[in-house]
Amino acid sequence: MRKRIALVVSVGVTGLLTWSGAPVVGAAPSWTSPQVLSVAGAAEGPQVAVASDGRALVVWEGDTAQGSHIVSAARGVAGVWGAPKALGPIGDQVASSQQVAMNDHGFAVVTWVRSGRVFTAVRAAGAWSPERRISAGGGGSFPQVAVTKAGGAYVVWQQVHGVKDRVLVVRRSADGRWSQPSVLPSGFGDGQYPQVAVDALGHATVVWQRMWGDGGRTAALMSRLSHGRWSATRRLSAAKGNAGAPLLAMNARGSWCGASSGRRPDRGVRHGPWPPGVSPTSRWVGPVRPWWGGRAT
Amino acid sequence: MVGWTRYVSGEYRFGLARRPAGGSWQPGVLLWSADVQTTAPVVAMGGGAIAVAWMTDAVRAVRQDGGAWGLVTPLGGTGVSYYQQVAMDSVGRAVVVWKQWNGVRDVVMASSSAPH
Repeated sequence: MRKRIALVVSVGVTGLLTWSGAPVVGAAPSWTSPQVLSVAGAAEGPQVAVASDGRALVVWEGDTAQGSHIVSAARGVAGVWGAPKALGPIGDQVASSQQVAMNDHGFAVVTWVRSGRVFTAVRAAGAWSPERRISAGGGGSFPQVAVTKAGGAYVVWQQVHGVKDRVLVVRRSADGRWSQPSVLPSGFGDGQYPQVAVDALGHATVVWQRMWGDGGRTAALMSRLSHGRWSATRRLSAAKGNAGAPLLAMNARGSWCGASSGRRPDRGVRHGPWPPGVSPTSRWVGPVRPWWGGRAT
Repeated sequence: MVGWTRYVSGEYRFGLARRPAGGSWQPGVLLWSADVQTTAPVVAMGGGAIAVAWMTDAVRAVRQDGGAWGLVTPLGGTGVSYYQQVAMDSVGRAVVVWKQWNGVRDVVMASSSAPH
């Protein structure tokens, strides 16, 4: 899946980034007639990823009278959608919060949550692995996934540890080995709503929200894994501001673009090379507030 | 690329702003304006093209190729459609998926587009 710098956000009635005039009006329509992908039960929360050769993968939560599970549909190079396939057994507990990422070779990882436990399934060479539980204990939520060009992957989520929410991350190496979960430090606060992206070298960057950790303030934090080590946590937002629910997009060279909610001067879009704060372009450029559930692509 | 919605003077508006590589943020482009609620925009880029989808009275999508925007197209049918997502590959092929009520149950729908 190509990673270009693009964010999806919504904003209140004030914004430094503005558009004006009449809406653009184009010419011919360019979308195919809609096709139904799900065939049984109710479907919730579809997610999609594409490869550069025309393959595509859609996952959703499937709910039937027998229970809930995660379902996928794959489109091949010829552009034909295949039959839906369940990625795990149907269970009484709802399987939800599904996310999918795929690289240009068609390697894909899906992650979801059931009963507070985080699961993954891997698609390589057109075949699915069995589901794999990657979290220990319960209380997990909001998983996100990114895959590397070489067939590695990173999955992040938030999980209750004691009385705090923590951000956890696991790494799948290209040879298929999964790491144990690592906790990204959020200091005294709660770590929540993580997002992950990778560059062309497979270096992962994670952003997340730290709640109530600094005199009641909310901060957007950032860390990058390079050569097997997570960097010290960097603050994406201003030291005395309030900024949360960050979104993240990254290009192949590792330049990043983040958006965060909060109060001025901390809500907005910020971009630059790693580490944040060094480049003059690494600054907030507008009071833009992410839409809940928004996604960096 | 950043997209967002605003409610101004009784209308819901949706637009994008773009920052070229190495440049500064460009003036935004207004893609949609209507008196029906407009929410949850999603955007994808690839191969120099842009694909955008959002929800109003139906899931709608539009793409840009070579700097020219295509026609804003309603993708959903008569049933309520929402929860749209979009992805685009490195040569500009896009897929939009969404959830739609078919009168009996919610189903997953997909529509694709190729570069002009």
